[in-house]
Amino acid sequence: MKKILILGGGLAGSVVADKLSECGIQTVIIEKKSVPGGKVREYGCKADDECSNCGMCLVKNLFTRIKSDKNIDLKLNSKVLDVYGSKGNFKVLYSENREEKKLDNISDIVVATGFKDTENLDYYGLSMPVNDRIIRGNEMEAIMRNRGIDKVFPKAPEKLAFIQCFGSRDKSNSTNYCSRVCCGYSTRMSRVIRKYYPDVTIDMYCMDVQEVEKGKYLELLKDKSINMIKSRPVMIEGQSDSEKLLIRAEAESKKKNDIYDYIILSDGIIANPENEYLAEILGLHMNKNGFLEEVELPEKSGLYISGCAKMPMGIEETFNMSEGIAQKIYLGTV
Amino acid sequence: MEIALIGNNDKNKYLKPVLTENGFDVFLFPETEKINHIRSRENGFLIYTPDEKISKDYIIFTEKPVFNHEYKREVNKSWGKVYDITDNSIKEKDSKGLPVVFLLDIDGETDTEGTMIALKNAISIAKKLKKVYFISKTVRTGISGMEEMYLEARKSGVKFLKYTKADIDYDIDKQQFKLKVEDMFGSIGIETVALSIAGAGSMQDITAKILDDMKSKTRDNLDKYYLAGYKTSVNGIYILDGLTEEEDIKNLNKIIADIKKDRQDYYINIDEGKCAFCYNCVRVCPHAALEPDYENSCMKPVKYKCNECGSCFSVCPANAITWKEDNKTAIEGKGLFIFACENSGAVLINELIDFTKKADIGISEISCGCRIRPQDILNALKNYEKVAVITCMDGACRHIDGTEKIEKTIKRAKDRMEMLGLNKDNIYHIKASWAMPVYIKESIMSVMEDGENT
Repeated sequence: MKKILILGGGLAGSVVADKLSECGIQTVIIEKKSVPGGKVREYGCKADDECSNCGMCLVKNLFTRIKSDKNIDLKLNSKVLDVYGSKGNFKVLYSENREEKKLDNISDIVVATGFKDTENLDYYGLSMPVNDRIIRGNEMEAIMRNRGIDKVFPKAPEKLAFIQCFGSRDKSNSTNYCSRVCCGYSTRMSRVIRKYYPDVTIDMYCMDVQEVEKGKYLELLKDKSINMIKSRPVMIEGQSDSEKLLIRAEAESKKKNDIYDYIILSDGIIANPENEYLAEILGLHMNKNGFLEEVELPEKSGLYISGCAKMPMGIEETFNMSEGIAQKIYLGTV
Repeated sequence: MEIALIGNNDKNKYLKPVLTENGFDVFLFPETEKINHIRSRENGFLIYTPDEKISKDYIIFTEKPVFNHEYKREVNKSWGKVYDITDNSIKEKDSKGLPVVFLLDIDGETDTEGTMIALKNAISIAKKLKKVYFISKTVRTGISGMEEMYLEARKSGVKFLKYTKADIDYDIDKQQFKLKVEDMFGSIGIETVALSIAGAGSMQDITAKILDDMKSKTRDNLDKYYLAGYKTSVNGIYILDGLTEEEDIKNLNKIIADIKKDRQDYYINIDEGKCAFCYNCVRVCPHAALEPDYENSCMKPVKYKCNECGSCFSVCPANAITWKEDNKTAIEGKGLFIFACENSGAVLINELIDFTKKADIGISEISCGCRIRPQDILNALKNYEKVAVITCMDGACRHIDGTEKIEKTIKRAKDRMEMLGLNKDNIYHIKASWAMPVYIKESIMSVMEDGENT
């Protein structure tokens, strides 16, 4: 029987494999890391007292299921090298633990390679020191995940700042687009922080706020006294070991200099640098933002793109899109 | 009372003497793979093996059981029968609109006489307008008259297939056999309830072998419903999966106490003077645990049926129903019992078991908070000091308002505890998500420490 190849064992790839396995279709996952799960693995629940629909509940035990599923051949520490053939009969050259291997009888390929590792992100225009108290979005996710019964941070903060659109909507770079997820996760995080620390001042430096939930979401944030400051900060001042950091910005045509305990950078989704190489070997189009696009209809070409390899999207959207792709592939085999 | 100890290990050596001391008749059952299924009866259980039916009052598994959480689903369904080719009763078999299948040459070549018997049966079934498949590796015409029989079969509508490889599978949900027959050109899938097979040699061995193969496939899928702790979702079936002898003996004593309590109690008392004979309680009781006593013009409880749900209390206009005094057991148990829902705690169940190994903690996996009943909490409280239920955050339930339902369930359980005059503060509700493991662990710790200082 022909198999489906999935590039990337993160959320998007795992959902496709899981759904196809339910239909009895065999899949091969090529994952570069030594564990499946990708970035979502480290993310945390972002409910305060009430669920804030961050989508993490959807993931549940997906990755343990993937590991033990008989229909899924999970190849870890692997990388795809080259792809030949066309829909119905792809031949794939890949490396597993630095050993070159071949795969035959692949009918369709799903590209689910996700987005760039935020660890190696450049500083986008904003000058700042290297300091533990400047927290990236993914680091903040890990803090959310590991929050205890009565604390989020080791020491209760007095003043907190979120800097929105960090690495997004920046004309000087190639990231001149909205990442769409950062408004969601940062406002949800601010709500959690408010639950734990009722007296902390939370400032949010933003240009505008995307629609996170329908209804009066902004008013809800106002009720939780989360201050929206329409500004783009110029610099963060401080030493690498200082416990207080200064943000220099301009708001309402006035200088605004404030001191904070923690600064959270809501960094966006940046296209995977490997996309260029994938576009070349698979014959896909890479747009000017660095994301992949289909050239032909996927049902014809046998090449599907799911998740953040295609465009920035959240957990729930990725889930739905991947389920849709699994359904399309299944209908193609019947 | 008879107890079946099911499991093939050394535990029987130290468990049996304890049970016999307490006046139980112990029946050892080391051949677990022989059990087809277990069916619950009014007072006890029936264990089905290929050879016999064994009736026992209680069952204790001493190793990871095959059926557990899905037990109820399992007991209502049985394995299909594979017919021997000489067994004529296949003619009477109701095929539910699916084809009747004769599969020959399985595990060796069928002789010509066997083929002839099968052909006769096939023809007679096909004449009653039933679809018939006749699947074999070769065509045999060794005896005179065979060729005419093949012709007649073809005219009556028997479909002939030749094969090189055949797979037999059984779908326990649909109660159907699934055949996958391959030849040189491709394969075809056939679903049936009436399957008759023939090969070389003793047919009984082969039918047994096929059934065993299919069962072993299905067993793998049932493994995931494994619970921690010694209780299962069925009253009267227990698991002893402790690592040490001490742990097992401790749990066994709890089981014995449980059984003895179980047998003595009616759970409720009905005041004959107060009863208005209005039938309200009979109508609402989901377990048919009440019946009219015409002589005294009052209701009376039925032995062993009551599940302690308390429905009858709420509808009785005369307040004639009270909990039986014996049931008012003081809480002797120590430790904590946790119900963890699929969306919150159950994902972390392996981690939690490791984390809680030191203390006296039992964990049960539930698919949703809405699935547990007040009496589940109360049953747990008979053996543990505290009970905690881990469910989703408000608004996060992906079932049907499970978090709201569990709040009501806990309230009912607390009301019941208050009625019995027991401490109702030992029931805790933890709202969490699987993606905040530290929070869950710290919550469990705080529940365990709660009330210890005062």
